[in-house]
Amino acid sequence: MDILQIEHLTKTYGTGDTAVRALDDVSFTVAAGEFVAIIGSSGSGKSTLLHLIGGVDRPTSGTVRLNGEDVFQRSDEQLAVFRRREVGLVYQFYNLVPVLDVVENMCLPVLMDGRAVNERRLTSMLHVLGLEGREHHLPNQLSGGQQQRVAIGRALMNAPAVVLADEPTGNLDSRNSAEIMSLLRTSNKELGQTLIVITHDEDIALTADRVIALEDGRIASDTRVR
Amino acid sequence: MAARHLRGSIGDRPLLTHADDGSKGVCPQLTRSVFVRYTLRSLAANRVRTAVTVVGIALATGLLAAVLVSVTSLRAALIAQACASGGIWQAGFTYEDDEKIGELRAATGEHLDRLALRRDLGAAALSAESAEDNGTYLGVLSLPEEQAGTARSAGDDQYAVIPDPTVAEGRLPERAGEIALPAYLQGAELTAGPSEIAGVEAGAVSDGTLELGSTIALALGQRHDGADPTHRWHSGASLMDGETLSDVGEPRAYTVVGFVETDYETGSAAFVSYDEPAATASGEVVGTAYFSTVGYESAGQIGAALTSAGVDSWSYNTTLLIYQGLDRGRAIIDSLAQIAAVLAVVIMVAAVSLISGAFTISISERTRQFGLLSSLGASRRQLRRTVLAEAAILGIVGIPLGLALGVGGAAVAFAVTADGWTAMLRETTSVSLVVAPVDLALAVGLSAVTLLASAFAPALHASRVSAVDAIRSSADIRPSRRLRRIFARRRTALDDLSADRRRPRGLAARLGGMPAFLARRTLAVSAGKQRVSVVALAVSVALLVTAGLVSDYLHSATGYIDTGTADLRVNLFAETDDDYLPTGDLVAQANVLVGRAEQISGVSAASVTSQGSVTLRLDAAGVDAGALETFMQESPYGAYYLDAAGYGSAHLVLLDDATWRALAESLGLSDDEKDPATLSCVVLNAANVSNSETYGTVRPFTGAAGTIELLADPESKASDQWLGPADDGTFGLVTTDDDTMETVVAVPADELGMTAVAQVPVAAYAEGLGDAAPFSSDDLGANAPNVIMPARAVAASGADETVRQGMSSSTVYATLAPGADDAETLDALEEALEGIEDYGSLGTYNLVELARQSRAMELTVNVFLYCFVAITLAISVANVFNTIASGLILRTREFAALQSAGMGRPGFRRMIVVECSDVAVKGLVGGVALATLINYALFQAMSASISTLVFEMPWGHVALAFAVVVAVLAASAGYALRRTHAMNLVEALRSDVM
Repeated sequence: MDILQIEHLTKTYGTGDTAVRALDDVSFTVAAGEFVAIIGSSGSGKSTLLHLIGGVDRPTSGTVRLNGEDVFQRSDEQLAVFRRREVGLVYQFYNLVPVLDVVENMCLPVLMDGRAVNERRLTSMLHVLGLEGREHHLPNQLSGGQQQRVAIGRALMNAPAVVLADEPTGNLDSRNSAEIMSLLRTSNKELGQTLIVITHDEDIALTADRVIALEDGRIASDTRVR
Repeated sequence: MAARHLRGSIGDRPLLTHADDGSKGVCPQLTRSVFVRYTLRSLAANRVRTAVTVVGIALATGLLAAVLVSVTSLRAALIAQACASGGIWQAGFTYEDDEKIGELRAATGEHLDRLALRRDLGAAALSAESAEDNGTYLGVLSLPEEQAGTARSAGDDQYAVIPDPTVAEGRLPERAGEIALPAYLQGAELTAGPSEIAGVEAGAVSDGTLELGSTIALALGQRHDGADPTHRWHSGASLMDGETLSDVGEPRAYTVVGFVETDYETGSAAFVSYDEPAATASGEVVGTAYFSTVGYESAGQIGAALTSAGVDSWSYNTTLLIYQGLDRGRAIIDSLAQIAAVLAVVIMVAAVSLISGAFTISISERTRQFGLLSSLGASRRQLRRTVLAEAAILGIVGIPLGLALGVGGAAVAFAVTADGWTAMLRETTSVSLVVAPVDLALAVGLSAVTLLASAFAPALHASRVSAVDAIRSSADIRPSRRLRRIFARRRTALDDLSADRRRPRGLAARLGGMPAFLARRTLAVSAGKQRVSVVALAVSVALLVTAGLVSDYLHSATGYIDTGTADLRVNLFAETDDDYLPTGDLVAQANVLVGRAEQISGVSAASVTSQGSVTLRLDAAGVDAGALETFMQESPYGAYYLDAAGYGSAHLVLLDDATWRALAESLGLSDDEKDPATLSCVVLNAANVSNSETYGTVRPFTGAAGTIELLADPESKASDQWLGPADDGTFGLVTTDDDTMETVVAVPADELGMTAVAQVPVAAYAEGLGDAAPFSSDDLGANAPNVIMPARAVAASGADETVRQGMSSSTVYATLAPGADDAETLDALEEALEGIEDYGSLGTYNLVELARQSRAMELTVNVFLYCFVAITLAISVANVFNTIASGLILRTREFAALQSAGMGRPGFRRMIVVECSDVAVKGLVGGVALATLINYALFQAMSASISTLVFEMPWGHVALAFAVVVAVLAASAGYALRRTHAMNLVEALRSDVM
């Protein structure tokens, strides 16, 4: 079953002579539980695509359907709700809220949604992420790898329809990179979490189910790896 | 050239040196310019903040410069005025022996600046007949003559040591035998015969009426105490008890060459030239020495020098000494000085807060950049320099701008208010701007020091930023100690959450949900940054409230200037010996006066009041005994003409119909009371308790008495008894006790059997008469209750006879026709009102001119006040804007992270509102506390001159400050949020806040 349907997605920045077409008529679908890697050189439109799927930005034209529902039919307010319930975003630079501790950062989307935090999920997540004993640390008291694990915890906490990761290992050393990728893969394999990861690291891309290559805002190739 | 230099370097040392300090690298010139360029770019990158900071520095510098320049200019004007009118002498003493002058020179040494001597040749007695109009004596003084001064004072002759008398007509005497007489003697004839002093014949005789060219014969003697001949009196002084005249010489003839104005200092004295020979029998002459000094730090030191010169009594030129800062002034002067000091402190605090606030933020905003620079090899010294360079650049632009603003502003303010200063200084000279280099240097110095001090801490901080830390941390967040303690107490992951796991722990989350929780957390974590905002707000609130306070205090001080609504005033006094208006119907008489006045073309309307006194009684509950007690203690008049039992004597003002209607209208009286045929009265419930040192007002009535009784005076009283208050304040028939010389009650008021002639309902107790009355508070009784009644009703009542007997004068008030000349019309009015039956002397007052002066003074006060308010307001706004807006813009990325994690706009707005409210509440509380302190300081300063001042918080101004704070806060937050939103969420997520 396709959880994500992207049709004729186009995003143009600027107008007139300075207009840049970051995404040009991109269409593809992602099945539930699929692990998709998106690769491409810088400026190829990877991040733009991810932000559109995550409801952080609006397209110039085209649609994104998550669970059959058109994401951009929603108002800004509904988009905010969409972001906290349906997607989990992981960034290269973590983007944790500096004034909240580890647990509070992880539970942020759930709490903002006014729902109860699932205790078992939280404890097991802290265990899996290796953050036990660091529950009450602020982001600036953590290493880069630890911060990224908190960001992953935040993305997964709500069991979103899709987790979107933008170069999640781009800022980490190889050991931490490996750990982060294994965490993401575990969530995909064991929890059936749909996962879209932007990377320029071919080794990482090859561990995905499917690799989509973007070039100048268009899909250059869409290869099923396994 | 550059190539040769490079080759030279190669020759001297290796091309690639290992530089441990970047600035000493291959090309220090280039590295330095890189950092300067970097600073300039970061300033340009945040144009709004840079502009606000520069404006802030300029305003702070400007305000400091303006205050310093104004104070110096005012002081210079006051000194110039004092010097012009009284001379530059600081102390003066009388001597009988010329050796004293030598001793003075020895005792003061280098300190003596200029010295002038005046000789007192003695006094001539006038005949008893001539003395009636011209005083007992005519003293003869020489014109002051300046002694050769020190080299230092040569050329400094703008002002005399002590000025020559002002010539009214003719000229000053130039040689022996010439004399200038006091102006009051012009046209008088001095006759021979016995004088008022026992056994002394008149020694001043003229050859007919005294005019220019007349001859006057004077036999001069020495005035001294009858019992102690060594105790001499100044020849121009007024008559002393038990004095006598002796050592009278032969009469000598003098030619009158001029008439001079008399002044307080010289009294009733004629002037001759300095070299006029002595004329007393013994040939003794007393001299007075006046001198100025340099280098002494207090009047006390001058006194000490005089003591060591063997002088045992002297007088100081106190006014000048106060302005020169050598003497402590009277209470009112002290007050002014203290207020200026309080304002100076407030300005300093505001300036420091603004500059350091703006600067601290500017630096902390770029912590990451400093880390980056450090990682690229910038040394600590270079980073420090970068920060200091920013301070220098801001200062180089802001400080001169501020100086120009301050000096220019002060110049404009003085130019606009020139008339006011002229009116206040009572001289034709105005205040000219004195821009002393030392003031400018002080303003620049203070601003620069503040700037450096503000830059120093962030510079140190910037230089210690660890490269890794700075680049890694998304914002410079360090948990406060309190928060660390809270976190330390939390053991399990779930300790962060409430029992139902639906929200974070804590009150804020329970009450306001996630937005409130996030806001509280931000405030708790970044307590230091928040403190900057809170301090900025508190200072702003305090500034605004202070500005309001100063305005209130100044208005309470200028509120005493009150000239009524009329343009011209003529007082007509009763002609008869017992000073009453004996006959005629008051109403008809008033109509005659109004008719005459309104015939003059320059008068558009006229009204008449009659005033006098009447005995009254009211219920004791209607009297505020405490206020009467204050009056007795503070006012210079002694007891009020009303006692605690309700007996008293009122200053009664009777109004014509139209004036009564207008007054009744303005006080909101009923239609019945507005009718001038209805017997009623308005009681002025205010008594001025100002004395020579302090101002104040009390309210003698409680308002509980609904009617007052007018009483007929007792039929008979002894010649040494009169109706009035005794020294203890009791009203009754009083007399002077021969032993104690105190005024005591002879017959208590309630035993006098005074019959009530009318029961007058009190229509209103008014605290002021407002604009409806033509008369001002000056026209009313100062130490008696003021009761205002319609003349028509009084004339028709049983009180008519009693009231009319107490009337002593009438006053005609006239309003000028448009375009009429005030002085000409007043002359015409005076002429028209002369020679009316029953009236004797006239007194005329040009109220337009007085009002003009008073307006000029008020304008002056207001211009300076509102300049202060406007600038402090601008400083406050800049301050709050800088801290709040910058604080929010710094968190762009954090906000984006929250939004990408699913926070909606309403929640976001709520979070910001909670944060800002928290800052606002703390700032307001701190500000009100600070304002209370300032208020207390001002109150202390003002209490020195306003005796009845009550300490009150100006809640109106606090509310206003609150409104301004909220508005500025909203504007700042709005601006910042627009900027953070203007940035695309995608960009914001990536932004490094650089």
